[in-house]
Amino acid sequence: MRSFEFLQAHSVEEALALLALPSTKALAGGTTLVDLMKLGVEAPARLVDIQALPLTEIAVTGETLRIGALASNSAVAADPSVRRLCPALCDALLSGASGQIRNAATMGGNLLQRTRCPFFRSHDWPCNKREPGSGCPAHEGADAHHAVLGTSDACLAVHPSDLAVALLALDAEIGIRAGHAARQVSLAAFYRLPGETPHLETIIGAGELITHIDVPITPLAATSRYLKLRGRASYEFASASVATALHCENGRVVELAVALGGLGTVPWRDRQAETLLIGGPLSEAVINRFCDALLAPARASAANAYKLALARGAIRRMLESASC
Amino acid sequence: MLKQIGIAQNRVDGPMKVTGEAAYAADRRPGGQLYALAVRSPVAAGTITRIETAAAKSVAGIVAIYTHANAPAALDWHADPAVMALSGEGLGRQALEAAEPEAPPPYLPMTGPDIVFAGQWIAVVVATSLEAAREASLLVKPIIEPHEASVEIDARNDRFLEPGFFFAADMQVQRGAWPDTAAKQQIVSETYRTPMQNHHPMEPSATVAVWDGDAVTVFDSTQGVMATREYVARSLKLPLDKVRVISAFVGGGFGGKNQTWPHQALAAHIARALGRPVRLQLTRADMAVASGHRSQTEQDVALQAASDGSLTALRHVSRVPTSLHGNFFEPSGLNSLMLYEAAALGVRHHVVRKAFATPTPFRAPGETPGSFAVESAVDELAHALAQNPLDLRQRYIPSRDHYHDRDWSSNNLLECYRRGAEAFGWPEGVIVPRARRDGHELIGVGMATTAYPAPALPAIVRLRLRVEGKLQVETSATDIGTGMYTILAQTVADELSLPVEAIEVRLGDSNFPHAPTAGRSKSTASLLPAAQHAARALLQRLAAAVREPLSELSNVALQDRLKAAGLAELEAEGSSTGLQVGQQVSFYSFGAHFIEVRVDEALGRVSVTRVVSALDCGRIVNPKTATSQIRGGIIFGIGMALMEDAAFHPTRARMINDNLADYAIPVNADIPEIDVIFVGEPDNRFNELGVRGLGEIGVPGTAAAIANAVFAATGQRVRNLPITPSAIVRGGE
Repeated sequence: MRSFEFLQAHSVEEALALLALPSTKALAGGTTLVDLMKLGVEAPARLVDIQALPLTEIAVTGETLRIGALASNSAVAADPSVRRLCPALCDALLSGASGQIRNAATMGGNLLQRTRCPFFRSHDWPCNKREPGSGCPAHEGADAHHAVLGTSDACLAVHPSDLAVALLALDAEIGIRAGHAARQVSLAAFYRLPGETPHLETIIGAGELITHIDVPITPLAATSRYLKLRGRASYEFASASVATALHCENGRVVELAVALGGLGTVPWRDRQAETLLIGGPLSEAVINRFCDALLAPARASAANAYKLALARGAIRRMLESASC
Repeated sequence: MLKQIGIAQNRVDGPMKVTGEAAYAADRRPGGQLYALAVRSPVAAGTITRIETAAAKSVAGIVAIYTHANAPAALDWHADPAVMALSGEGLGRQALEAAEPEAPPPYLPMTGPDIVFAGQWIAVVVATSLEAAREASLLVKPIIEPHEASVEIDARNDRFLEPGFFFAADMQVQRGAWPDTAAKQQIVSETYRTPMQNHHPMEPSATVAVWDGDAVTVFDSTQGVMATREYVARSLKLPLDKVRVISAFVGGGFGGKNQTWPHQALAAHIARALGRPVRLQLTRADMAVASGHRSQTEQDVALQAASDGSLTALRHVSRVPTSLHGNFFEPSGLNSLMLYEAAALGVRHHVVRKAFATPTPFRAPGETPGSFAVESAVDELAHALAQNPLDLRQRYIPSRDHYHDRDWSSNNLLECYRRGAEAFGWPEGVIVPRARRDGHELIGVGMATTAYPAPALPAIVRLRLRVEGKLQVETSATDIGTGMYTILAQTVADELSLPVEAIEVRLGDSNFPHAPTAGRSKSTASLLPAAQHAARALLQRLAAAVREPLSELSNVALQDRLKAAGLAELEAEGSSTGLQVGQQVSFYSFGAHFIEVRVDEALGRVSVTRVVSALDCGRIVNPKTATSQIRGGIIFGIGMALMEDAAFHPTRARMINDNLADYAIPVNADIPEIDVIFVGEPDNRFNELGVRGLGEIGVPGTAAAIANAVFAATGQRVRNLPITPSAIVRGGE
């Protein structure tokens, strides 16, 4: 691990000022960053410890559930109002990592966690995300656990967050501060496709800080659920996952949301495809048509095509088991 | 009278382990200790042009960087064939000699510019802190001219070697002619594949070397301190008595710490050169390449049976790799020789050299991958014959050791089948695939036979009775999590009519009396008879000292007798002889696994929901630690069946998942209740206590029982492990 300067911020303003320094990273729970520093993948010159900042709230205000960026994954998952208002959020958090890691990991850190692609995480494989232009070993036939949606010639790395998939289905917004300016962007616009620049993963700029996550409180959100598929029963990233929310009246779909994880370079959702399901009853045929449309842009290899089958199986299971 | 043996005794070392009092190798912190870490080659084959170390040397706290350019001279570090023959690189050489008279030169890292596998150590950095060593290790930049490399077995085009005897069995057995296919014969002929697996014990290997004058103490994580002492001493060109190896606690080994590996000697060489204690720590990534692995296997199995099920022919041909310079290969056919008798029998092994690290024994080497193939094939045969797999296996119970032409000392396999089937509720009649469903899940049951030899080697145990304090038991054997501390205490307690609490067992020190390496399930049968003899010798010496007949001794506390005799302490040793040459009978353990799975095909999920295993392992010394051993073996089998797969990059021939995030092993949530039944019949022709080791027998057969259960659930026969979500949703593609 490269030696670094360790700074502690006592206010958001102080943190933002420190984060404006070159080669500086914010340290919250540290469950990804410290790991990657030990592996030699991240080597910031400065770490700003932001754990003392007052960003741990979990509060319902009007029609919005606001969750502070430094609320721990455990605290959010255990919160009764989160469970009642958007159960998928709790299920997604509890499906990830381990109890110890969830205690340390924060919501903002969860959104900014980096891919688990083994080529990215090891300092001596080529990787366009870690070292732009160096190449991608996954593209050379080692893509069994890689993405099939949102890929580019430069990168196939899967986005690892369960939380982000649930938030995408819940139409969440991310609160961001930079200097004195604050902005709010939808989660759908938060992540960037890899394209030719896989090292740029979000719209967050240098010196910016996530302060909170807003989740709209809707009847649809209260129906949300999360299903995660993987090779063992816990403590593993998703091979495929799906967050769904479904609101039916008289046996017909009025509103729904379906977001996918484990398949995309970013959390994946297709609102156009969702319109195929709206207005009618949920039949096997229409669910299949929806899956066809949702997965149409997929570029799969023989080794990772199973992810498409898993995603179909998960979507079908979630929709068929929902009351409609 | 046996009071302690047979009692479910808690581990006597348990409190030390859970409180952190037990010191593992890397817990030792001698004053002035330096930290050493290795740098691995990212390419699988090539020649090192140069290694750039300037950036690494500029890291604060760096003391030294060794590469092939300076290590031989600075460390007296050379690939001496006689020394390498003692190491993991040499194991299997005799077997390969017949096919390859001239051995390839032995591999030792940092002795030359050639890269022979990805992950090969090309440098070691030494620093005053672990953090500095880690930073510097990332800055060492090798310039390598790459060559072509392959780790894939190519059945058609590879040049295979045909080894001779290995593990006391001919690797090329051919008896009888393969019969002409008759109309009434059922034939199964399939190819089964098992992937490369890593041992990944919880405690990664580490060696701390501390010199005192011309002698060195090596704190190590090894299954065998005596073998390690010999390897380290020979490497340092020192007499044995100048090297002491201590491995009091070992956080799992599974074979990965059974042989000796370069780091164990290298730490001592570096400490000598730098004049300071050195800790050489293997990282998790090192554990995937620097202390052996179980290689992949490809096995063709053909069975031919008459319509009543009687086996007329068995062919088991294994294609297994070894490294370019090492010699170990999986003897996958062993259990086919021991368990199945057919007029026509062909059990052959073809070995091919590939560009990866040298493989090594891994918990039931040979038997584990071999049993997956053969026990799957027997299940396929049962379905082809429309017979219950249990009925068919009962027909196949080997009446004697046909291969060695000897009777069994004891064989209760039939009782294992009976009691296991009863506890499990094994169904009668033909098992119809896809017949049981519960909601989205298909339910299936499968079974398989397991068997493992019961070897024993000579061992010595020393007892020390003192006027005050606990009675001490000393031997150089290691407890790698097996329960050796506890069963030695139980054995001595019984012989001396003492409570277990009155005994202190001290293990894993090469200054203690000789004991074999813990491996191949031999320690119990090697050590316990020696402990018995030591206890009896102690009583005799005490009787002589107090001039009383032996029979009177038990009435008064031993320590009082010692005091009365005016002695501060009294020592006695006992030994065991191991198996005699020219044995008249064969010593083997047997068992059967019965497993239920649930398969959710749409979600690609396989859950193991019930396991009952019934085993014949002689008398059980400690049902608690014995059950733990078997459960651990079965959990290994579950990992092998469903998850474990050391995956290689197809063109770069480099392991991709050399870490525990990407190399999946089961978590608690994957493991159901595992019901272990011991038949418990003492094997009194083996030793007086009738005990056999049981560290490995839980593993063979488990993966086959799971694959057989998956077939019963889904009708899908999976012949390539692991049975991943991908395999389930692809439907046996």
